[in-house]
Amino acid sequence: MSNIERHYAKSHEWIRVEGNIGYVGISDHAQHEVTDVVYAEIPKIGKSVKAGDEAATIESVKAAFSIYAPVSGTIAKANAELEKEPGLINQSPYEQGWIFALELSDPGEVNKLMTEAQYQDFLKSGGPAAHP
Amino acid sequence: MTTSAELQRSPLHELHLLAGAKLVDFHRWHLPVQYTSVMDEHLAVRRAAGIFDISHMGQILVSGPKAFDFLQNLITGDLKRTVEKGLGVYGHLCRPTGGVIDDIFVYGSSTAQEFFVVVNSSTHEKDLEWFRNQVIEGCAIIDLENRGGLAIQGPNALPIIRKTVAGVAELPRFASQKISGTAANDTYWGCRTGYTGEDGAEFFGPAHTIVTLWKQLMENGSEFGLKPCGLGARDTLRLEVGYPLYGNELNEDRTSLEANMEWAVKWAKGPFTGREALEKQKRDGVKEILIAYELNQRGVPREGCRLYKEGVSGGITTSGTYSPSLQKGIGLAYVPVAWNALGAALEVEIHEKRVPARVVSLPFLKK
Repeated sequence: MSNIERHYAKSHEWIRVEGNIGYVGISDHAQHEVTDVVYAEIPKIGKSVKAGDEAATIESVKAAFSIYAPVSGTIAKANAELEKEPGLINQSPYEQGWIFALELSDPGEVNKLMTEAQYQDFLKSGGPAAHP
Repeated sequence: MTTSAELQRSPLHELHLLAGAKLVDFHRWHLPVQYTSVMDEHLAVRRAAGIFDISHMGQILVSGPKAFDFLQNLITGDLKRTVEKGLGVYGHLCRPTGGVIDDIFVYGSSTAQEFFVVVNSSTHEKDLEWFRNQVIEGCAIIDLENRGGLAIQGPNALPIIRKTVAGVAELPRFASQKISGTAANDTYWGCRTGYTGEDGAEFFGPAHTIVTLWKQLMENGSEFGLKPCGLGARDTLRLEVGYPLYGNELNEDRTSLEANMEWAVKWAKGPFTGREALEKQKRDGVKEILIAYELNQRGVPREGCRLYKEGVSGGITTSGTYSPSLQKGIGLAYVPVAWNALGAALEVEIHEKRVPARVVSLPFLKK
């Protein structure tokens, strides 16, 4: 497991905070559930979102999935690589497969999310089986 | 949500668990939706070979001196093809209104005394009831139990079959053969049919026979790139070649003509249940018809997506997916018959956005 600290939402997004910017993607568990991502609809830069708002959509062979902002903020970056290679979400969910980055409006919200250990327990407890 | 304990299990269930398959509830059966990835499994079938568990399909034996007359009167296909040429027959079971009860395959022999019928799992009970209510003297209907089924499909399927079972790979497409196993009552069917558009075969037999056959095919198939495949790939594969799925494209409110499947109605065969209704509909013309469309832009249409033409709403998608072979969104939809023109411009509503599409011919994937 990487030593970079990630926090997780119950809807299986992770966020990794660097300064005032939080990078967001979906967990390895979620990418397994979603399976082969074929399109990623990344958000427009400058859009502001509240924690729990739908911020992006990904489509797999199986279905469409909403990606929710784990915390509030303004979209600061979007991973343009996903337009060409959406499969990065499956191949590298924690690195190259990040989806967007938020400029945090309330950094304290991050502490309301699950830590890596809490998220692993959440998965074991059989939390929601599928990504929303 | 139902628990997995309440679901019916295929005889191959343990093998799926060992293989790490992800299982889902499919019409009350606990079956693999995927082993590794729908995309990988789909492409394995197009490029090499895939093996599918189809134990959920209903297997019904119709036998006796009147078996031919009985079945010939219930399906839109012509059973003479089975008796005269030994080829399996695809057809629809229709209500007298023309509504489709099920789409089925009938295999048989030149004796015309025994036919092996494969039906959809979701309609299995309904089909049996329909058969039993109309059964005639000189005809017995046996719902076969403790059975299994598997399909092996793809450009490499025949060499794998040839290494495993004698005779089946040499049969013509659509033909079938009854094969004697090692023990008594071990007879199984090898049928040169499938649901992917690729060459291959389907095998139906006693549960333990199918388990043994699965293991042998997997072993013999390793050098040919054989992959176990789930229901996810089965659906994308059948859709790329435009095969209907009962419950999506076909149901009791739609007829074979509305489904754009007049090829499955053999008018020359003589009478069958539903014929009068279909003849009338052919004279009067259908109001809605099933068409195939491709998206002109990126996006993935899904079942239920509405269609528009020149801003007017008028159709609904019955099946849609991302085509792994064509790398674009494809769909089947019922639309007003006037929209049925190759190349006609449509719009498909996906996530509240209208995406341009056009009417195409089937199969989506041209060989």
